[in-house]
Amino acid sequence: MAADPQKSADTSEGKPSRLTPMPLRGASYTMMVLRLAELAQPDFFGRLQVKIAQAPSFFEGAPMLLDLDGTAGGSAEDFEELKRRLRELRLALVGVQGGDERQHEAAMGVGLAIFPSWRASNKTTRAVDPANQRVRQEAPPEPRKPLLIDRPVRSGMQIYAEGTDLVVTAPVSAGAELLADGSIHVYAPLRGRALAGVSGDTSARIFCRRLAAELLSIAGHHRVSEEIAEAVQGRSVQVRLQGDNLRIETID
Amino acid sequence: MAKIIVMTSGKGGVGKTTSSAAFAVGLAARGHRTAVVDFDVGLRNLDIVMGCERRVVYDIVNVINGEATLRQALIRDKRMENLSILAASQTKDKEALELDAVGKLLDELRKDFDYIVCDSPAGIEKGALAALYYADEAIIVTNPEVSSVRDSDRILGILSSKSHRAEKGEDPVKEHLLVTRYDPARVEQGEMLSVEDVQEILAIKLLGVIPESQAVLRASNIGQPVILDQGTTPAQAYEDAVGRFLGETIEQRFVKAARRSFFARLMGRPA
Repeated sequence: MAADPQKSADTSEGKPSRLTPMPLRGASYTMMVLRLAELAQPDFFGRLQVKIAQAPSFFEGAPMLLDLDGTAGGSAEDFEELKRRLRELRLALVGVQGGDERQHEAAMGVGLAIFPSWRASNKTTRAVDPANQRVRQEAPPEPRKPLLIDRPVRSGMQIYAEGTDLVVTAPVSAGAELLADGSIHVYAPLRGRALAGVSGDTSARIFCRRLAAELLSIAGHHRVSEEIAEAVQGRSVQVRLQGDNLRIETID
Repeated sequence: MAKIIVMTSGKGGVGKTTSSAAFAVGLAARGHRTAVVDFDVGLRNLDIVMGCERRVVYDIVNVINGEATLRQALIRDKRMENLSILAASQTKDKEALELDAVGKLLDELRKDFDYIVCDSPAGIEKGALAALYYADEAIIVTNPEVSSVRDSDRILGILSSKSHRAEKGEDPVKEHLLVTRYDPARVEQGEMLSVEDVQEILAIKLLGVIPESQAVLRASNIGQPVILDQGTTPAQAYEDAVGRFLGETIEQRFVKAARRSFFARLMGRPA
C-alpha cells in the first residue's frame, strides 16, 4: 500500500495540512495462511522448506498469516521465534488470525497484526462490531451492470463498454464499432465491427442474432468479414476464443 | 407549432433538392404556409429547381450577417402565394452558418410558416449540421445503392447524437425514409438494392419510393418542381409521400416492376 509520495510530503514535516486528507487507501491482497496446528506434526519446518523449494520465486519474501485455530497458549517469545524461523525461509510473517485474546495480546506484542478469521466470521461465532456489520448490510457489493443500448448503432458511431459487457438490442450498422472489456451481445443484425475483451480478457465472447459483421475480435484475435465462413453468415452465432483461434458457432 | 423538416442524405446527387422542392410545393398545395431554405451555401441550386433564380436579391448568409431582413430575402413563389424560398449564397462558404444564428433565423421563420423545409448540402460538415441541427423531422433521401445507404446511416447517427433535440434530451428527431431513383426492373435483375433491403439496413419508417424518371431532369431544367408535372410517376409518388407525411394512409406504389404491354415490349418502349 504505497502512499502517494506527493501527498505524504504534506505530513512529513509533522504539521499535517488541514486541506489534504490523510493519504489512506483501502486495498485487498491474497495472502498465504499457515495453519499453526500443523506444527504439531514432526519436522514441520523441514517439510515447509521442501514445499518452498518447489516454487522458490512464488514464496520469496511472501507475506504470511498464522492461523491460530486449534492451538492454545503461546507467549510473545514464541511468536518472536516463529517470526525468526519463517524469516530464515524468506517468508514475512505479518499477522495472525483466529485464536483467543491472550494469543492476540502476545502476537501484537511482537508487532503482528490481528486479522479477522474468515472461517469464524462466516459462522458468526465471533463477535462482530455491530457498527461494522450495519455498514455491510447497507452496501452489498454491487454487480457491474452491462452497458445497455436500445437504439440503432449507426455508421460512424463507436460505443465502448468500459470494464463491463455491452448489450445492444437494435441493429448495428456497417461502419459502426462496438468495444467492450467484457462480452458483446447484439439482439439484432450485427453489420459493423465488434471487439470484445479489448483489455485482454480471453474469456469474453460475442453473441449476435444475425451475423454480417465487418470484423470480429476477442482479446485482439480478430477476423475480418472475408475470413468469416459463408456457413455462419446471416446466422445467430456465438464467437469465442479457443487458444489463438476465433471459433464461430451457430446457436439457432 | 411550426415544424422544421430537414431533407438530408449524407451523399450528394441523390435527390435532396428535387425532394425539398417537391415537398415544399406539396405542403403548400395542401394549404400549409411553407418556406423552403437552401443550406447549400456556395453551391446553391434550390432556386434553379424552384425556377426563381433570376429573382434572388438577398440570401441566407445576408440574413445571418444582418445585411438584409428575412422579409427582404424571402422570395414569394409565383405559383403559390403561401410558398416562399430562401436562397443560399453562391459566393460565401458554409462557415457562415453558425448554429446560434441559424437558430435565430429559423425561430423567425416559425412565426410566419407552418412548415420549414431545410434543403441540406451533402456531407456531414458544418452546412449539413446546420441544416439538420434544429430539425423536428428528418427525411432521409436514399438511392438504392450501398454507398448511399451507408451515408444515410451515418446521417441518422448524427441526427440521434448531435441534433438540438438529442443534445437537449428531448424527443428524438422523427425519421422518414425516402427512396429515390428507384427502378424496380433493375432491382429484379439484382442490379439495385430493393426497398426492403434499404429499409432493413436503416431500420426507419418508409415514407415513399420515387421511381427513376426522365421527368425529374426535365423538371429541374425548366425550373418547375417535378411534383407539378402532373401525371408523371415521380409527381404521383411525391404527392403520395407528402400525404403520408401529413398522416394519411396511402399504399406504396412504384415498388414493383410494371408489366410492360405486348406492344411496348415489341417496340422496345419502357412501361
